Amino acid sequence: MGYIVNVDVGGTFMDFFVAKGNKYVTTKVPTTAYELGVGFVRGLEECAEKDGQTLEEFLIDTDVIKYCTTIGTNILIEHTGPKLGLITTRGFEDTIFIGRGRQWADGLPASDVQDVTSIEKPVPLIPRNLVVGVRERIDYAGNIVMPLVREDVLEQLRYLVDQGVRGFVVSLLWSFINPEHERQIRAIIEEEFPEVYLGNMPVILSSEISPKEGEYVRTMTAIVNAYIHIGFVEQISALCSDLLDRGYKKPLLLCDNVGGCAKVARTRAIATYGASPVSGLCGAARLCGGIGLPNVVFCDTGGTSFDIGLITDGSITHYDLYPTVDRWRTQITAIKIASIGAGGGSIAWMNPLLGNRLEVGPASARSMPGPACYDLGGENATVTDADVVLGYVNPDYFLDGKFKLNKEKAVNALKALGDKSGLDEVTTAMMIKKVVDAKMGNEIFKEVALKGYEPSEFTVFSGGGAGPGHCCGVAAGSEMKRVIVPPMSSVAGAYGASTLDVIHSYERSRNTRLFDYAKGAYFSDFEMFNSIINELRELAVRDIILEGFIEEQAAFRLELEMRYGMQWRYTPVESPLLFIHNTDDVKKVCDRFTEEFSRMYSAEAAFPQGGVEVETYRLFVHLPLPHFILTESEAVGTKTPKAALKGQRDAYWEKLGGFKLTDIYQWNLLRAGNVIEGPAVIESENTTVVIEPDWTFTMAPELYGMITYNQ
Amino acid sequence: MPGAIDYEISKRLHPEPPTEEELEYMKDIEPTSAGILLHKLHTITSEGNETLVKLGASTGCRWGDTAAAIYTRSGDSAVCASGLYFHAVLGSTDVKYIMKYWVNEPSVGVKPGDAFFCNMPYIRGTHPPDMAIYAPIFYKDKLVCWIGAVVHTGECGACEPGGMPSGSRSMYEEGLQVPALKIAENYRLKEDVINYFNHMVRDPRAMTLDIKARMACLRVMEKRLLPVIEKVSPEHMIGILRYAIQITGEAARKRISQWTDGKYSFVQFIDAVGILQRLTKVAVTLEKKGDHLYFDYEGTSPEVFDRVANSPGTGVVGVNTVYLLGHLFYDLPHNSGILEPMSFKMPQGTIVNASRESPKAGCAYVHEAGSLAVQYVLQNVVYAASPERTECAGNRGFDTLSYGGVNQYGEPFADAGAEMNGIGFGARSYKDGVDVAGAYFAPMTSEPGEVESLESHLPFLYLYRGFHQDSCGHGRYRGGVGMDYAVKIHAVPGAALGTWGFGSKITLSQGIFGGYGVPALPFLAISGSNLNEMLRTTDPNIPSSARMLYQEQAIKGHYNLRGYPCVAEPTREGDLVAGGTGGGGGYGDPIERDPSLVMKDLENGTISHWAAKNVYKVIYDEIRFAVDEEKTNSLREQERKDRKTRGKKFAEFEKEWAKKKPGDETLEFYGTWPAPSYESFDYFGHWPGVSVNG
Repeated sequence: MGYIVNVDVGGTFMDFFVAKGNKYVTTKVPTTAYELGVGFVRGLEECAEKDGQTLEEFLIDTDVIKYCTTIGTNILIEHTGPKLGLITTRGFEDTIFIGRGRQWADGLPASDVQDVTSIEKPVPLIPRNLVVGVRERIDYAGNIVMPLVREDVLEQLRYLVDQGVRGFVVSLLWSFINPEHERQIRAIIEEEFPEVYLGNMPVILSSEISPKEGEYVRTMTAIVNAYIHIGFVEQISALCSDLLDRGYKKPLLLCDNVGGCAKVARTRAIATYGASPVSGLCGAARLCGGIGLPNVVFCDTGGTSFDIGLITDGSITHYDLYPTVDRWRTQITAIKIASIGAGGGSIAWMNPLLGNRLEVGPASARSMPGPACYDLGGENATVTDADVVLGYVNPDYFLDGKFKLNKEKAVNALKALGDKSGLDEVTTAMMIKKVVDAKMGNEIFKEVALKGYEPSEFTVFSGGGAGPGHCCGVAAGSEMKRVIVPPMSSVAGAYGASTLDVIHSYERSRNTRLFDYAKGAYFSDFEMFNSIINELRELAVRDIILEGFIEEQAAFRLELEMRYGMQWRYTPVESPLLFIHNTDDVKKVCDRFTEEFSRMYSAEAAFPQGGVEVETYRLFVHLPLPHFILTESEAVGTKTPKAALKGQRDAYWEKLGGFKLTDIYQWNLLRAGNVIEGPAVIESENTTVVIEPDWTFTMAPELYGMITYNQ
Repeated sequence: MPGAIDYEISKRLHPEPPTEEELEYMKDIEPTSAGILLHKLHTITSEGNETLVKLGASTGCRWGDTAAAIYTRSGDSAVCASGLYFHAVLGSTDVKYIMKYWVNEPSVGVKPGDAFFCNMPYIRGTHPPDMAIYAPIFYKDKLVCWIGAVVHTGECGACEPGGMPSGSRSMYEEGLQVPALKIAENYRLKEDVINYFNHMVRDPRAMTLDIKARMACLRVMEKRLLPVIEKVSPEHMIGILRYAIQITGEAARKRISQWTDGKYSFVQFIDAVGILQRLTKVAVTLEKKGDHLYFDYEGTSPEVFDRVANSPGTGVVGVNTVYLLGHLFYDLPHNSGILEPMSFKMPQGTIVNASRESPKAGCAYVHEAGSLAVQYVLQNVVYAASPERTECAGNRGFDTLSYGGVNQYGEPFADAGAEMNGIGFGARSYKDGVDVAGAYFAPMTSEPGEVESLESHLPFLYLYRGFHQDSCGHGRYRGGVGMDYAVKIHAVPGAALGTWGFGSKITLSQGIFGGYGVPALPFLAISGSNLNEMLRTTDPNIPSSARMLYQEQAIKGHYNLRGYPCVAEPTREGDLVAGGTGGGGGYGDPIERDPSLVMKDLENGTISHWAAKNVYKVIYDEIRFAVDEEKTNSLREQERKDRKTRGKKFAEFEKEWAKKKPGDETLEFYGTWPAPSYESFDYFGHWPGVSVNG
């Protein structure tokens, strides 16, 4: 077996997790935002070196490379996409600029849009003068109310071509029900402007990219995909060529936001957005599944943000149905990752309006200038400064000692902050910890509770550089009593990529009244229901064959977005059946919805008599890949972690009344079965684990840490 | 008498004085620990509010007209999550009513597992569609606090569908109105009560779903709250809720004290009384003294007893939180405490402080006008201290469709158009207002929806929907434009269509420092049209904007300029209605606007060539949108000179202006011209020299 290489690009670092058999190496290199391929190759070189190989030897012996890329994100942020033209239904040319009104808030944290006086809509990806309307109209049932006229289309096309557009997005009203007009327009474009004139200008139809209801989100899904497509293909092609030149002849798989990966040719550019935290979540699910933990909250605490994902009943089934990609609301299906502005760099401040209440974030010192203790010019007290002053973070062993922290600067920053309320630096630091732990804990609690689950039944999966330092406080704040600390927490996304299978999702909106309120009758057009599933299945089979699999290897899962008649929001439900053949089958699907709805919101809230509707059908296809599994690595030995004890230092424990001389352990010297009673601190090269009083750490045979609250 | 008609309760919107018990439990509260606990409580209300939005059926759920809140035992709102900020203070009077009448009434009582339904306009301050359910939270037989869930349910069985009948002549034509009725007991909904409600409305399904959504919200909040009370103790919970209110009031005082003392006035006119085109006004004089604001509504038009033109005072006070919490106090908690440093003096028997029996369906219009007046007086107050916070108001006409009937699936429907959530916001002192930004009353949560999501369950076919050209106030920085739309009745024989709102005759949102106000809004109905035929043949003359519709009149049929508001009338398949929402006011002189921005507006279609030439005075190439700088400068210079020629001394202008007066018919409900005066008043909050409510 060769190497399985996994690469995850972040804002500051590119993370690498390379597995071979049951061994692995990791590395981090600075992100080369100007050209991601440079950092990519540099990271591969470091991994190869760590395993005693040259890059060429390493690549020849590599079976697969999985890549969580931010190419698409960068194109959107930097607005470097191509000049596109949008063809839409006449009279609706302003739809993407109206953007459901509150477009100004999409993609921004709530704290940034509280002040309504300062709101602003984002700069559009397609300017208004490159949007044209054609005379045509299809109604809700797919009937052609106003036929398309070829001459009108040609006139609009000529205008766009004269403007120098390099691609067309076609998005007409109700095209997801009847795509005829969109297809006619594409045929006209291809006929009138053959490839010799157009070069490789794409023609993207909204009905093919996102056949779902909602003309704004459907159009934006198509636009965003088209906008990043060309640049994305160019950069990935360059990387593939580079790797090929260096001897790598196997596939490059791109990780996506639905928790899978696929060959470049089978990946839609938009699906790669946000793949990194999703991969981290998938890695957590794989690890927790192997050790029998069904309900887990994956947390990734970095310098500026705190990301949360849910694993329930052993699966990841919670999707964001309208994810915002950069500033644009879309309707791709993406695994839900909630995010708030809280992390090691979050700045603490006194709120003079509210009785000098200490608050933390959402502003962040980021990596530059960073926390005061970084000594890079930052003067604001941050969460990391508090951790240093409380004795949790060792200023001489931050990032494996490669980056010395200045404790004095941290003390000064905290003193300056606390002075306003007559507090000393230690009390201020403790307050910062309590506030940020509660904030993150509450967010976790809400995410779990909103899905209808009991938070106390969950385990916190503590990832990210700043996560394990606050895991006990965060768990307490979310009313959870168990924390798992993975051995590779600082490269969670890259590790997660190694666990991904091939997963694709296919979806289509079609309002289906399974129980009709007006008629008081169950749905009987079984053929219609089944034909949608067959259509989605055919698309899936086409893709998996092109990926090199056969249909028999695939597992299918059907999810339906359902509601009681008239509700504005839908509840996704896993269908108990892939096809329906009789009224009993229809009832089974309705009952499953009521069962799930009742679980989430109480039986009292269910109202099947009001009608049961399906709006969107979503078919998942899953093909397993071989991947690294964190297996049992050693027999459980002694409980005493004496060999890992590296010293003692004063650390502050409120419960114990102040600073206490505390044992400090070295993570990589801990052995399976070692037990550490809190308070204690464990240091590793990329993070610090803080075990608070009343919590107990146990090193598992797989060499992950489990921290439990002492009942 | 149990359950009396009680005006006194409706005036108690401000926080009650802290009880001895509350003072005792607040003594040792430390700000940061309190902040942590309040964050937890806010998380609980957020979960409750999200539950409402997920489960509710009415369009109110879409525009964020929902709220989940925790109230003190005495009824003051302490922690609230809502898309519509006035819910942060309204609702208190409902709880106070329950506390006053039902706690000790043996036939009713308040016990764990109870829930009370309330939507009485004169108590709550708004219209009947604003329906709330409240539940007491007990800890070991001790009532610790109340929780509430509010949803605007669009259909309440009034004389017209959609909950806000423009033609209502008394409260008795406005459907279901309940002061406080037990709807659940021992954690079970009372089916007989729901059955009664369902028999009173056109859309029982939406009524039931919304009630179930409120109950699910309350149940989840109670489930979350009880362990918190157990953990921190009921005493601490009682103390922290009062503390939240108190600290909010203190924070508001601190901010107010930074502004300039003085006396400021503004009047806002309303051009509709019921369905009649008549004039009323809301007058506001604000005296800012130290850390307190005193709002006096003397000069406002008298109550109209048999027309939709009135609001309870409670709502007029409450609605000011929309501007306050969205703009000036955006960083403060949302609760009753925000009102603490503000007092309101309202003449009795006026449109801003009406009696119980007059129609309240249109109270939102008074709220809009009142909040406009308050926004503009406050603009004057904050200008010296914070000029960057000076901004014009977005359009406040509440203008939208109201409709009802049977849809293409044979299901009943009755509600209001989502387009009201698509107004343009006002220009700022340093940049334009936002085009189609949302609803002024719920900016964070309101959405005008998408055409497909509307057509999927309504028998409508939109002909166009886009930016409403020139609907902004022009200016150096222009206001955002509103929405322009036309709807054909489709796939059913007919439906009832009318409108809500006002502003079809006069400018609503004013400009500032030479910026223009927003234009009046037309609403057109075309019956007996040939539109279906035009569509079938892809007629190139089918209009794709209001400008094209009005100017070319290519559609044949009977044109009826109806305006806002108008009674819902039968409208047949193929008939068309065309409306729009307004934009925001403009800031500064339009001839000081950067000509390149004018060209951008032209390209985007937000302004017309007429406006570019005649308002902004720009000379340009109409094909390339290239400005002729020299000619533009010269034209603008000439305009400045012309203005001086046309101008008058202020005293002269004032003398002439004061002589002008609208016709008697227009002033039928206005009150004494020019400024109605009154002898008896109600007070919300402390007023110097006056004991509470006289």
